[in-house]
Amino acid sequence: MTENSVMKTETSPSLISKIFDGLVSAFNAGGSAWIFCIMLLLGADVLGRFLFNSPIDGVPLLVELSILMIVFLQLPAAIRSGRLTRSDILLARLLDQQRSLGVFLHSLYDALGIFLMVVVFYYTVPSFEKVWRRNTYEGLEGDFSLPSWPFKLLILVGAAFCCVQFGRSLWSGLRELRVLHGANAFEGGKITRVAIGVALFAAIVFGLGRLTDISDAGIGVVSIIFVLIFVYVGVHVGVALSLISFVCVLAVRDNLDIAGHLLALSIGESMQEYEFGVIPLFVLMGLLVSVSGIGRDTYDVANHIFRKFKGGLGTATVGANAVFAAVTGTSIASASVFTKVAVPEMLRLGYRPRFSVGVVAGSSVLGMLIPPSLLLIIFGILAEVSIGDLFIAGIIPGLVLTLAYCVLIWFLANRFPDKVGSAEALNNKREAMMSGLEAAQKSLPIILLIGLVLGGIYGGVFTATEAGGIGALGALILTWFKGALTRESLWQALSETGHVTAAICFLLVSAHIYSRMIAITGIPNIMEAYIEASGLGLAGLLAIYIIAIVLMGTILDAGSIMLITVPLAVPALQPFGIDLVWFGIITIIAVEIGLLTPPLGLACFVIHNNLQDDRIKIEDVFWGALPFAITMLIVLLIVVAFPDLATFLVY
Amino acid sequence: KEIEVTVIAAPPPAVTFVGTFKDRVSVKINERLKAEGHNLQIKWNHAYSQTIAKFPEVFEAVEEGIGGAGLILKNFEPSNLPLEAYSVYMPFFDATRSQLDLIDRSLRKKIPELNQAYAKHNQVFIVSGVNDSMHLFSKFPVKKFEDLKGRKLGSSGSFGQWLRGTGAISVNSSMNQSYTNIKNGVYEGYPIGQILAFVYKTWSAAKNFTEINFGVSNVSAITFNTNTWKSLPSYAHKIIREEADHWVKYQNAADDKKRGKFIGIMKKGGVKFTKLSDSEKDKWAKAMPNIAKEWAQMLDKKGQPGTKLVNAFMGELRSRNIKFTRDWDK
Ligand code: NA
Ligand code: NA
Repeated sequence: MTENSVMKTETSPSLISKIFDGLVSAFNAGGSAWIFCIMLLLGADVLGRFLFNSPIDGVPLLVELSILMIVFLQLPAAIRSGRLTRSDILLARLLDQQRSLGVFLHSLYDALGIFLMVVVFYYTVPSFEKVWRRNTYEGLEGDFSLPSWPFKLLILVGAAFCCVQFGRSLWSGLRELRVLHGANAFEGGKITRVAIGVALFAAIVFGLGRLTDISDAGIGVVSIIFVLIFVYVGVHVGVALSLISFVCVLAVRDNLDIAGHLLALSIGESMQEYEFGVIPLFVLMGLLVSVSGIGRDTYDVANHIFRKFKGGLGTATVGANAVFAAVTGTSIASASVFTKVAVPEMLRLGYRPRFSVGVVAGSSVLGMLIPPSLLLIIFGILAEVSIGDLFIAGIIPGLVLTLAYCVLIWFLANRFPDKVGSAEALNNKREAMMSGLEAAQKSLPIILLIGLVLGGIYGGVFTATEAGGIGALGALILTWFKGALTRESLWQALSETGHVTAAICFLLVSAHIYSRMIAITGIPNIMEAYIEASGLGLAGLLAIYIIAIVLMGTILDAGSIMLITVPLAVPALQPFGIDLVWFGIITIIAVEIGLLTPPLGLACFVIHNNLQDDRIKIEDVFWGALPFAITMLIVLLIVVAFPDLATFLVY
Repeated sequence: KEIEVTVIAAPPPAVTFVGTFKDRVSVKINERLKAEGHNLQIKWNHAYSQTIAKFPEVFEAVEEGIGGAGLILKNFEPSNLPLEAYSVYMPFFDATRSQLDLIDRSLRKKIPELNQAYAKHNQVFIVSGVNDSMHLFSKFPVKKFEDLKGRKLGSSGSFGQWLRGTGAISVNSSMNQSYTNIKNGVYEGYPIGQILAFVYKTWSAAKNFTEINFGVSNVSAITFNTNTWKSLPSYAHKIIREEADHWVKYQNAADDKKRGKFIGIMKKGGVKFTKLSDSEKDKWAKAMPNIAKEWAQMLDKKGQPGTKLVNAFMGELRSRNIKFTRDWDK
């Protein structure tokens, strides 16, 4: 994702364009305000339940529905500020060196975005009509319910706004092409050749698809190649996954309506989950911790403690992440909190950008290995294993991974110091920078915050998902105490939260759409039959399983991978008498490697999106995370070789 | 000839109503097609465990043709299938699963609106599945009705109705969150059957099982997308319907097999099994507001046969001599 929409036009904007900008900003503000409301509502619900035994009706439903509102209120603004996730590898270089070709491709991708939004709009219309006509509601009548139509209407308006926003970007791209090539925008020889090439490519693919009798599963397999190409050339990742899924479903079912409805249904409904609803709150918590200066203080203390170690701040980040993992259930939360807290401090103290983001990306995976963990819960339900056992089993491997990261950082700092940081950042065995008392004072707020969240979860006051809301509220109060809470800083944090949430949820939803397309092609059933017929032994099956997960992890999100693979693998492996708790931990580690690998590495995207720093490109995050991904693979093999690491505490 | 039908369901095959369709009903249909000499096999694309649609999406996904057929959970569709919750709103009856299966079929003949709701959503209703009876797993022992007072209990959707008037506080949740939330003390118990409590691990956080018998529920169903259904020949319709009629029987058999094993594991794991006496159950039912009446009147206002359905269900219980605790229609 880049700020490479460099084609800002010099001419003053027209009135219509000003009005539209105002609308997009108003939508954006609505989303920000709503995030704030959800935080307060969750806090009130938890307090009401805990103190007065009277939870507030409807809060869970509102949280569930809120993510849809936030995404569609803020997506247009996120597109406007160029924050939809995309790869820069090719596009940025083209924009820099072969301007007109770069602009042409940029415009082409905007056109794809328009097409996607038109499809979403077109297929949400009947669904809006339906809920309007039938008076459909969300929730339970007599208990707490809301009419469904406003939510569908919001999707319609949001999709229309996104469409216009992509359109404006396309328009300014075309204008620049005109300027570059005189009156006829398409005279540029290279552009013509590329345009003809793209058209030919599309025609050949279409023709091959029509002529050869490709099977459904074949379509699914081919789609993977297209995802890789699309993402590499710089199409927005979410747009690429959604559109490729759309075309593949169309090819499999030969029915435009089904393909369109799958897109509209997934975008409209698959986000409606309580767990999704708290994502913005975890993001907000991270932003507030950074706004308040609590993050800076924590790193001063950490730097003080680890000042004698080479690369000590990296080690401190890993350690802090391991502690924070005991608070959060998702790695997205860890990644966004520590991007705001750790990366600026590491950069300030002279660490290299790639290393800094790499440490945060790598250690964010601890969030879902050390309990509580959303992924372990999903595994427990899919595989019928005790979630409590899984949680306990995650502790030692989580600590092993923490330790492995520390060893890695020590190794990198000694062997490749220039890749880690400047000489003074690494070698300066500094004097104590603060007194013990000062260190205690500076670390008090973060200890209070962790105490609030951990104490709340394990004291039974609130759930691990509600912890996002309470944590954000706690961070808000601490920010206020520290005198850093101004109206502007709060507003900025809220609007920033909205942008990150919109971009990340758009990615998550498109990954869902893609995995649904894969299920429609029947690939999971074929795999199941193949495994049954292959007669492979345990080692072979396990190897295939891990390789498959790591490969799927490049394109799919963690939840989708487990939904596809676990129900296939467990019945195939059970006859070998494997321990399912151990198997669960293996699965989680393997799945989490995908958080760090391109083209779709969610942890890296979250970091890049939260950072908004021109010096750090998404490729840098992926490169920085690579050593950590490799370390994960090694730890995975260690846990495979020594099942006791997982099962020791359980049995 | 092969016709592909994608079947979608939100739970994994480990949940009985999904597993029995996958391993029994769908297989038997193809066996019958073959045995009767038809040149047709249905290529089932089993898409379960939320791979195509999440819990609240399944119904709509079948409506739009994303799935050719669905194993739906009616409790996620209060708005689209308002009448289907009848057994939840008239709790405390002793019917077996096969008895409710028969009642459900009979009600559909008397009250056509039940099946029309599916037609309105571009679907053909085939048959209801019936779940095990629901009981209570809790952290605290329940010997008498008063033990519930002031306790926080989790529940999802309309099942929360059972806690009204008991003095217990209903915390909105779902079965798959029950383990974590009980463990962490967000609430102290969850109304759930033994098998689901095993699948969702509720038991390992709440070690007191109280047999209450809220009643079995017709919570699942097999439906077909209307277009998919029409693409199948009429002999296939007949075979599918006939084979689907055994679904509840398969569910019953599969659960009977699991239940003993699961209860054994739970007992070993320290779960105490007790039964709430009839007199205490009576107190419970009497303390509740008449939730069936409220529900029926709300439906009547919308032009749905709510009262008619309540009367018909209670009539079925009486005519079949099935014991129940409260006359919900009076
Ligand atoms: Na965690
Ligand atoms: Na990845």
